[in-house]
Amino acid sequence: MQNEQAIGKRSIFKTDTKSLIGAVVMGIVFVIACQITGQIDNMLPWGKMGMLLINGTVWAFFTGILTLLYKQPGGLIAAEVEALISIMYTPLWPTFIFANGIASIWVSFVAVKCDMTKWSHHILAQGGVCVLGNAIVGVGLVFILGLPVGVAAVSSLITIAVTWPLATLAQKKVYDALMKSGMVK
Amino acid sequence: MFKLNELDPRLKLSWCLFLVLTALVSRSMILNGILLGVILISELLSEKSLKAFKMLSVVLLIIGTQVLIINLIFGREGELLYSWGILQIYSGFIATSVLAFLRIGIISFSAYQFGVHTDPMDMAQMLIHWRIPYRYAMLVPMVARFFPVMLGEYQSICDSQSARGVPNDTVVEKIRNLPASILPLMYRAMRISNDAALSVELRGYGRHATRNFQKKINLHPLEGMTIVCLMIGFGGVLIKTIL
Repeated sequence: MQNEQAIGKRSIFKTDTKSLIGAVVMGIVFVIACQITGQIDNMLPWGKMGMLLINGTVWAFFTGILTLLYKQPGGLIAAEVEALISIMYTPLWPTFIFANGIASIWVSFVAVKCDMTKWSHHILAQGGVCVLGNAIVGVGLVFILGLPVGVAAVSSLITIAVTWPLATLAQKKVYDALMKSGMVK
Repeated sequence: MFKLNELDPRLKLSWCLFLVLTALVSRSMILNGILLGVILISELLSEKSLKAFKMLSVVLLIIGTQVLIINLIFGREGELLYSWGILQIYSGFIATSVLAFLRIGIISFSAYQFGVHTDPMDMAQMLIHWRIPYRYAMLVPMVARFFPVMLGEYQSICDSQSARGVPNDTVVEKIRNLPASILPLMYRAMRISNDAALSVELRGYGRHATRNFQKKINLHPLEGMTIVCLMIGFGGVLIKTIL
């Protein structure tokens, strides 16, 4: 009984069918959202320079919120669905596989240590997502796209600076709404 | 003539990984050019056209152009060709851009070829062969099943917004409309996933440890040997690059 309560309180895992299928379907929504925001970014000046700021914000938000909603392996499945479908529209997909996976695992660890009720918990969760994710994508910009290291570093730093606060704000608001609705216990 | 669809998914995955890893490791333009050519020839031999790569080629051309411009402005390899104020153009930008273009071509086309020519059920069976429980392995066919469904749902949300007269022409309008299109899609996704989860559970999903498939995948000895050859080939490229 005590074990069950402990698992119910702060477990990293949630392996019921609803979570698995929910993760798959929400992973597809994640892909669609990334596609739309990628197109919007490409119409803007920073998008033409290769910095996908709105897309990065939506990526970080979905990675965080889906992991909080479906835990593991649901969060990882949703993130990897996005990474694998991104084969269709970007050559950076090998980096997305690692970036999405590591970011999702980071959010799970933060969610186990913190109860996600304070702003600081969401800042910490999104900080890891944005820094780790963009660092890995930065490596991809150098090794796959062949961009100069300085350009990749500046691009990653600007993306982190913009996406971290915006994704934190979105994640906190949506997570609180999900808590209120009873979707997250 | 061979058909890519009929090959074992493990061979196709090995081929895809060989191409991706070789493209990432090698800095030889000739080798990368040959690999890109092999992908295109194999597609032509199997499907008799390159239609599958049409959309992806457009995307890669746009990305390639961006890479060329960034390397032109910020690239510092080779000799200085032209200087005007802070703008300095070095000779190495062409070689770097061409290599990057070949590399992104190989990485994208090889993965796309694997995705397009591999049946999701074959992928699930491949995962089951690797001792992944079928409850998780079957999520691959579910992605293939629900992707068009969710695209249709998104299209119907966009149509509803248009019918209500919501403007969606400029970039600002598109950004403003983002929550209005994504949040209903999330709601529909949750509803669909709840229905699907209940539906599969009531039909006994995950009740038994194993599952039957209409068509079984079998690795032919020749395919197994090809996988070994690909591994040796990649080892050779790796050693040559390091030395």
